[in-house]
Amino acid sequence: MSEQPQRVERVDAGPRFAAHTASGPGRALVAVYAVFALAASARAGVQIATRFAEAPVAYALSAFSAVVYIVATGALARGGPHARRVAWVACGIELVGVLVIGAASLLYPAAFPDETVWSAFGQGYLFIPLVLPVLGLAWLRRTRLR
Amino acid sequence: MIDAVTIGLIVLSLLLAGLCLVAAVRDRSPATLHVGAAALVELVLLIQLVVAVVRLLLGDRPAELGTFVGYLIASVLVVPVAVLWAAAQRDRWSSVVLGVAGLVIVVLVLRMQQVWTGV
Repeated sequence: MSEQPQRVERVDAGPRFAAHTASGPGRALVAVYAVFALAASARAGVQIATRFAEAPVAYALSAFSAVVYIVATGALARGGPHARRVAWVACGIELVGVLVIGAASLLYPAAFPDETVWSAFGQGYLFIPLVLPVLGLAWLRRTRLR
Repeated sequence: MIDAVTIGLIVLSLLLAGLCLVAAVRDRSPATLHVGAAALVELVLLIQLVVAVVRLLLGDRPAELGTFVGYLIASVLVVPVAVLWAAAQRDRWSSVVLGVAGLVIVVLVLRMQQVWTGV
């Protein structure tokens, strides 16, 4: 949540990209990503600190998803060639994660005694975890090199 | 946690989100009205923070203490961060950012209520 607002100045400094990833709609995207980074980290932190043994797989996944959201938030907020590559990877992992974990949590509920952000395709979070990586990848595509 | 504050917060936050949605649809950046609404929400959140801290110090315990304290800290940070992030580049998307913050507060307040009562 410590994005430097000054960074958006680079929108005009870097004409190589159609737009900075943190400009226009990207600002809203970064905001929602930041919320999920915070929510997933907090959830994982509490789960691991208080009852890790109950559902180690679910809680380790919560922590993993938290890291992915933090990286995606930072990369989208920062922009530029390197950060864009990082954002592609993070959003890609996120999409694969929500699809695989979403399916696995429905097929093998016993392995997931407690919820993760990605359980049941993010149902507990209004399916936003399913929509977010799609929006992220679409936005990266839209703002790529001209 | 306290019904009047909870209901007040939910109504104010929904109002903030609604006003910001209208601004975004009309392609406007947040005006004094929206920032004022955000400030009002933050004020009530701070009141809630003080009341919660007093109740915790007096020995009241929510069903899930750690989670509740996490939500409590997050609840007072969301609006200021959103206002800063929205102010950095002012267009319709600043209104969306502020509106998202309003919705996040609604969810946070509902979750705090759940976590406090343990229902």
